[in-house]
Amino acid sequence: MLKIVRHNAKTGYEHQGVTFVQLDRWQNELLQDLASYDAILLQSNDPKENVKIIDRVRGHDNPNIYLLPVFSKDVLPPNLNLHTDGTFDEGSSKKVKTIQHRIESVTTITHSGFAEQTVQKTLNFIYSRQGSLSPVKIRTKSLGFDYPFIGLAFSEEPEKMISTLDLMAQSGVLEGNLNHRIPLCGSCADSFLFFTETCPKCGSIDIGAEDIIHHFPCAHVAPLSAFKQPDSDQLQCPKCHKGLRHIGIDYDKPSQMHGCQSCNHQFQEADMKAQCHSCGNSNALAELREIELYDYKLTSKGLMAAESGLAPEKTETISQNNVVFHEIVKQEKKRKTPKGYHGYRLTVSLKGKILDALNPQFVTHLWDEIAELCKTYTQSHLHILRTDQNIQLLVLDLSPNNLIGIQEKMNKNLNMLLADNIGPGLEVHIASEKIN
Amino acid sequence: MYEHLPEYLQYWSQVGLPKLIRVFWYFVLFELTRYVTIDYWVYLSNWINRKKDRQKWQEAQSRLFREQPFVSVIIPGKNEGKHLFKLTKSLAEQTYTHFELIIVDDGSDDQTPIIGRNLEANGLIDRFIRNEQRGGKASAANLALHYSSGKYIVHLDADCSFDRDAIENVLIPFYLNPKIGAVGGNVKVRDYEGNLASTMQAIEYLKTVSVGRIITSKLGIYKIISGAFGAFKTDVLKNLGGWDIGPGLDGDITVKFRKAGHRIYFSPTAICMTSTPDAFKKLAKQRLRWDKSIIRFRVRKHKDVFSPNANFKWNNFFSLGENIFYNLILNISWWIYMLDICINYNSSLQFVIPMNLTLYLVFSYVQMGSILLFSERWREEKKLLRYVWLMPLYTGTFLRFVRTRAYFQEFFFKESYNDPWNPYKSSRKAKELGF
Repeated sequence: MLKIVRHNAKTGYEHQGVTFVQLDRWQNELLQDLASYDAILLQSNDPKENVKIIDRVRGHDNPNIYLLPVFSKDVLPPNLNLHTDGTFDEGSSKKVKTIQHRIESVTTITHSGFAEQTVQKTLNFIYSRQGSLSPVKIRTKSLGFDYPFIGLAFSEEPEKMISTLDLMAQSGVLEGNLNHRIPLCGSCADSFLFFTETCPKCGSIDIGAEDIIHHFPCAHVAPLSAFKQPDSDQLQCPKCHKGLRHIGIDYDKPSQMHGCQSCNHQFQEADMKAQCHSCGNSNALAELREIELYDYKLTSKGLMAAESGLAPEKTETISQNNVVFHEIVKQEKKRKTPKGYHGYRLTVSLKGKILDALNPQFVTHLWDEIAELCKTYTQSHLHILRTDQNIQLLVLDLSPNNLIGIQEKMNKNLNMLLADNIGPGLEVHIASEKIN
Repeated sequence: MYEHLPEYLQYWSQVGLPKLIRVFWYFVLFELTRYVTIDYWVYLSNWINRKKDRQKWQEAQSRLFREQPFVSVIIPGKNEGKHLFKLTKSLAEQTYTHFELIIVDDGSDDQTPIIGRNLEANGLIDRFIRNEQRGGKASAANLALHYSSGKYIVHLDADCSFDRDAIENVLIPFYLNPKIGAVGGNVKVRDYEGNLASTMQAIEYLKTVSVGRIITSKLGIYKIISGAFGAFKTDVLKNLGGWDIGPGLDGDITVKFRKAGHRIYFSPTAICMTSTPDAFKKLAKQRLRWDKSIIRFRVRKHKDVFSPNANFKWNNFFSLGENIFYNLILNISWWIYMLDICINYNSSLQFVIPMNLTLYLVFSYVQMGSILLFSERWREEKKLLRYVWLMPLYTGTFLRFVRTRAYFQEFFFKESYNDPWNPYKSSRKAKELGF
């Protein structure tokens, strides 16, 4: 609910020429007005409401909304604070002006695919926030770290966030400097691990270490306990019965020996195990996974992409192999999609009496043409199955609105193509089926 | 040269046997008796008793395999990582398999710790113990001894490889006679065809180790179990406090066993192949170290075996006495002999020197004959016959000079305490306390 704290507008608050909207809970109707403010001030004491507000604002597709500076009245927990622009203070208005100035230069292009849109939004966010993005230590996140902004898009799939940032760096829009290398549980990819030395024979953690003593004159070597006198603190060599007085002169401690209290095994190198606090899996060090976190900066290519939009990058595969295509569909059905996005199977078919009368070679050529054209209608990852009866497209991570747009566009253009080249009597039909 | 041959032959035919013995007294008294006569006599004795000996051996072998004692094979060393995998392969082929393999890395500064840990992780080594600070070979061996749980300890060098029945054959003597406390293995040179230094050492090892120790063992005066391959009763070894600081700790531990009343046995069929210095300069360095230990341990540390005290034993007296006599005293007396010849036969040197060389040449081949009689691989080792003519120069000159230098350095300057083979911290303290 918008709340007026100082009057110059019904729902706003002005400070040093900057208008803030103060929110204490989320309502969908707010979206219409948000873009008219310069910044948001979180008013609520309820963390859930703050999460909701931040999530909705940053999750929006309009850069004038998702890039809005967000401040909090009070200090927020770190996992929320990293997605805001800090706690409100005297300098906040100046900060808002800088951000707003940058938002003006940001592209308004949106992408139909979740991945492309997330990349574009992240670039725009970095651009509007002084051009850098660094991981922040967040104890409650499974990686132990989170990135501002992009972390919200992948809150359930942090590894996907890392791979998206890696891909952005590989494509040249970001450049990274190594910040942290994090070991993760080999089973659940959580970073909350306990490192414990264990007995290499029985795996017990009940182990102890004892110094080994080397007596120089007689070359006797044994654990410290063999040299200790029962009734004093003195050390005496059990072989030559001389007292040990001075380390480095009479004797030294060349090594240590561990002993297991459970199985009596003696060893020098204990096994290091990493027990996952989350799933309980006991990982050998070699079984741990490792990820690298970087401090990212926009490159000149990234700057251009923020100002003018990402160049479309598509991966399309036109296949005639029914089995492979259906296997991909099967896999996609199991995949968890980003919130509000789905995968669809579009089936393009031709209907008309003259179809049977056409030369089979011409029909084959026609299907090839239609398949090639289909590729141009979506920027998301695409798989195409081309058969003699229809063309099936697997389009991923589309919002329902995007789907409708694509379907309409394809329908219109393909029918125009057929009308211009073949004449009336042959129509394109496009059916869609949500697969996840 | 050949025109002088008749004159030379006439000279020696006229002087007669007494003068020949007078001129070559050193050769007749010591070399011929010790290294030829006794060798053939022992060979004959062994040949006569071969059936009885074989039967006893087989009975002992049965007892060993019935009991299947657990054995600890220990290998102390520094920077030996490169040899370890080959060594484990060689040991994996053994006919006697009931043993643990313990390797002590004495402060290596190369890849040894990584290799050792890797072999341990893969189950090729039972225990790999690393000392971050080097303590010397004796301390490393003692550390291995502390963590050994076998009834017998087999001490090896990392750069050795073994016949398939080597461990079996080094253990069998313990079942021949319960009084035997330690057994020496037969050490031979592995790559003896690579260079002249190794070839000479191959012949020398056959002479002094393979045959020489058969003889001394037979006579009950065997006094050095090679560090490269030897077996010990663990309880006795622990009671004796293990190895004392070296160099020369293998000879020292053998004497300690003898003094404690245990018999020492040489097992000629327990064959170990070792690497040797491949250049004469390196060989001289090694021998300087070995020869110094005769003064340090035989003459100084264990001089009590010559004292008529409660622990006096004739066999220990002869064992060390033979060692000191043949190595130290005869080495000195050779110089006296040379002086004698130069002074008294100065005018006949043109006849004496060639005859001396002829005698030693013939002597070397006769000795090689006994070596081949004793050897189990005489077909391969007969290749060495081509090089036997060089042995008078090698043993009679090169090794004699090295030995003389070593005795001088040790006797007057106690140089063995400065040998980098042992860490200075240990040697300094040992010298201070007279160990």
